[in-house]
Amino acid sequence: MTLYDNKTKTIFAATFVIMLGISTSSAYAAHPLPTEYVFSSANKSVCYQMTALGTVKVNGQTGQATLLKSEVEVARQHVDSNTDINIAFDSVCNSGDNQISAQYYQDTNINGVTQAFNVGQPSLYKIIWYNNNGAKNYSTSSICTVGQDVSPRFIANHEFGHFAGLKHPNNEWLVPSGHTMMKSFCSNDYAAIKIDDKNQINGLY
Amino acid sequence: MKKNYYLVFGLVAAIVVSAVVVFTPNTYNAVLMLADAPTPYIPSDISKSNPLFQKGTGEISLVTTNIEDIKAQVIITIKGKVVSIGDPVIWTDSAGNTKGSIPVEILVEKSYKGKIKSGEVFTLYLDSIKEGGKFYIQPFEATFEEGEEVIVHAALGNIPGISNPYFVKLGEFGKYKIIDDKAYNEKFPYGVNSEFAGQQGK
Repeated sequence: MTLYDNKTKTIFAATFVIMLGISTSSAYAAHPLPTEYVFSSANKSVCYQMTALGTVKVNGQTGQATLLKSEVEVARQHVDSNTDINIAFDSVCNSGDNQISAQYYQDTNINGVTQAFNVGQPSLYKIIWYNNNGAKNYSTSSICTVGQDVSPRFIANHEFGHFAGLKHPNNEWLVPSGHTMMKSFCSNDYAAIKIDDKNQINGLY
Repeated sequence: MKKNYYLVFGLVAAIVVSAVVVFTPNTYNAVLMLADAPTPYIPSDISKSNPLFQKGTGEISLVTTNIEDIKAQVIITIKGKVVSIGDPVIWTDSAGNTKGSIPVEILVEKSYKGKIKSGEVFTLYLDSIKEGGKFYIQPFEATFEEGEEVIVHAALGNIPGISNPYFVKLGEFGKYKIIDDKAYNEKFPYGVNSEFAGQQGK
C-alpha cells in the first residue's frame, strides 16, 4: 500500500513546481526598479567642481581632478549614448546645477553618493559625490571587489543610474549577479549599463 | 514501508526548512518577504529632535552592505538607549563643504565589542551637510530618535575639533532598532535576533 497514488503525487509535484516558480520569480524580479526624483525633462547637464575633485585620491594621489573627470566623462557618455536621458557636459558650475563633486565621508566604505536637492520642485538638481577621505583611494585599473580599491568609472556608471532616477532594487541580496548595475555594493556589474536598466530609464524619459 | 519513507522524508524536510528559516536571517527575511508580509520596520525620524535636521534624499554605492565583511574595521559594538541628540558641530571639509557632525548619546546597556562598559554614555556623530540653513543628513547615514533602543557598530573617524568622533559603520546597515529584543534595519526589515545583530561586528 502506498500513502499517495500516482495522481496525487503528480498534483503535489506540479503544485510544488508552480509555487517554486512563483516565489523565485517574485524574489528575482529586479525590474522595474523603484524610482525616485525623476527629472521632468530628458535634457540635463552636469558640471565638474574641479577644486573639490582635486581632493579625491586617485591611484594613490590627490590632485587628480583631470584624471577623475576623464573617468566620469566616459561613464557620462556611456549612459548618455545608451539611454534616452541626455546628459550633456556643462563647462561652468552655477548654484543649483547638477554637479560632480567631492566631500569627506568618515566611512571609507562609501564609494559614491547621488544626492537630490530641491526635491519636489522644478528646480530639482542632483550632486554626485566622491569620497575624499584621505584613507580612501580610487583606482583606474581596478574593478570593484571587497577589500580592493574601486574604479571611479564603475562608480560613475552606477551613480548616473541614480541620476536618471533608478533606486537600488528591493531585497537586493536576492537579485542574481549580472542583472542590474543598481545593487548598492560595487561589483563587476557596474562595468556597463545593463539592458533592463537601460530599458527602464528609456521608459522614464 | 513506503508510508514510513514518506513520514521520515517529510520530517527531515520539515526540520531542514525550519532550521534554515530560524537560523539564517537572510532566508528568514526572504521567506517573509515572499509571503508579502507587511514590514514592521519604521525608520527613525531624526527631524523630531531638531526641525533643522533632514534626512538627505539620494542613493549610494558601498563597498559592502554586510557588517561581517568589514568587522575588522568595527571598534565598538554596543546595545543601549538613545538619551540625547545634540546640536551639530560645524566644520569645513577639504573640498570646501560646510559639514555638521550631530552628536548622538547612547546609554550603554550591553557591550559586544570594545572598551565601552555597561552604564557608560557612548557618543557617536552623524554626518550632515549644510545647505540653505538645513542640515541634510547623508542619505546612507543611520538615523536615531531619543528614547529608542539600538545596536550600533561603530568605528573611529577624524573630524577637526572633535575628540574620538565615532561614527556608525556602513551607516544604516550598521545600526539596528531594537523592539521586543528583535533587531530591525533597512537590510532586515522583518527583524533578526538581537544577539545575531550584536555579534556581527566581532
